[in-house]
Amino acid sequence: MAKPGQKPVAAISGLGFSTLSRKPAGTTRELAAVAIEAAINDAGLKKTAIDGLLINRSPLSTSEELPLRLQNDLGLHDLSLLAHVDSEGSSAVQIIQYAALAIAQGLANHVVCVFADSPVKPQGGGESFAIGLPISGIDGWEDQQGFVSAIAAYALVAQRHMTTYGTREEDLAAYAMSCREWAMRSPQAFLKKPLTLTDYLASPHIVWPFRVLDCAFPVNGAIAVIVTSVAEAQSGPNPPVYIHGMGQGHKGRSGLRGDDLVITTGAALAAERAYRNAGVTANQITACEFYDAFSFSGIMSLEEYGFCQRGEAAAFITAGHTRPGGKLPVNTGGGHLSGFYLQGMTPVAEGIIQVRGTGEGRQVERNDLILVTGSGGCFDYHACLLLSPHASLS
Amino acid sequence: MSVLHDTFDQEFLSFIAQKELRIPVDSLTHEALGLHARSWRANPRDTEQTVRWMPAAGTGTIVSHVIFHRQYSPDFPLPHIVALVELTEGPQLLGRLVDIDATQIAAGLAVTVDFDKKGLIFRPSMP
Repeated sequence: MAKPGQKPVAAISGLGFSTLSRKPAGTTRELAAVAIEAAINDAGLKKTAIDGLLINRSPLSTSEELPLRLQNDLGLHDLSLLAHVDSEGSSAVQIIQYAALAIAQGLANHVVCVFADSPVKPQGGGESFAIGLPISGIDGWEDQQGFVSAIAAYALVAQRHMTTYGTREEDLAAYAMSCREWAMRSPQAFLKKPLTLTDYLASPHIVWPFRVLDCAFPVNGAIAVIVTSVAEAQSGPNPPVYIHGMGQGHKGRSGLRGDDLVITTGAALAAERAYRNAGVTANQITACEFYDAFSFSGIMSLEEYGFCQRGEAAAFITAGHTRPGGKLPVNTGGGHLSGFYLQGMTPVAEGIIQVRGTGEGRQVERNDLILVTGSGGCFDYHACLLLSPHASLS
Repeated sequence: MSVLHDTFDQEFLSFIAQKELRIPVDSLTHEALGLHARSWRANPRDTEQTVRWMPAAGTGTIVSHVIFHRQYSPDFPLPHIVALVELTEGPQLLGRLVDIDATQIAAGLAVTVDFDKKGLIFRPSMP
């Protein structure tokens, strides 16, 4: 890992999307192939230049939906790196980390990282998420207690935060409204109608304290990224997106007294590692792209990644600091709530767009250092990247 | 009784099926273990497992709770409230919370374990 002031680990040279849709849009495997072709074209590469493929499958899908045979679908031969990474919502960020490290060590030159998912069925998206997260420690206990849906697991932590720090439903609303303001400026976002507090409060609860508008907006689609060496990215057609720092944090659970997610999660560890290996502090970060499948995740991320003290993110958001024109733009494409939910690739893609300076109506003024996060389980698995248009941060 | 690590869930659930809440306790330190921390620590002197299931007092306090407004299963009609409870011995346990007005639920509220036909439930403790 580079020391502060040294060159970045690697760079992102290509970004590709499939169609993103609220309707069935082909198989997950087909969507992945489309996104990969688009990313290779975007990087100005030929398929023969690709020598690595890292795959992030949705935890909602089976391994057969996105098999290693994706390599053959694309006619990719003689790969020197090929793997699935299965760390739930932190996987998209993790595969970019592993690609960068592999490139830095000479294992590969151009690595494709892809995520694809088809959670929205003809009857809608909700059923795909009506599974219990295993947060009790006893497999099968959630089903026995009717503790169904990721929404319930996250709502339990949110309610704890509300009790501990006085976080209010108006604060969840403020985060959702900030994201909606960004989405209204993004051509890729799905929810672009202005969102008021009245609208938010009229949104029905699903699992109190969460309403429909506290939850991600799932779509079917795929996003692929090409990770390349710094030197090769500099000769490509796009402004290089330098990877300056990376970190992971997986705190683990005991299930005993004091095992309290609102005190700390693994995200703080991921942050500490990433800031240290980039030689920066949170104060130097100019924008954030958080994995925010729930409104409350944005609040937790601001606190865990060191932008606010515990319990102070709600006031930070209601003061307008995360919205367009604020001092710390957050989830500039609308994030998972108003943009689209493609798990970890939603924040990754928006981070790349912002670093390249191609965000058009939602382009941030200062893109010098952008934090991208991934989060899986129920605040269990965390990974982050620090991206910049600058080859040196010093 | 000693516990084999691949039967931990079944052991816990078999006591529940008998309307009994037992918690894992380290038989060397006599300290309660969390339900995630299975501590399959072999006794260094032999291969005996050192986790034992001890009857819980069946009391605890609410850490957090959620109220389902969407009915995901016909087995759990609304109102359906689930609380995360810190048992008196220390382990945290998720369970259905019944016989309480939602507006009366608060962190720190004392609850007691009971069983209905679907399994374990929590009720507010009698004053």
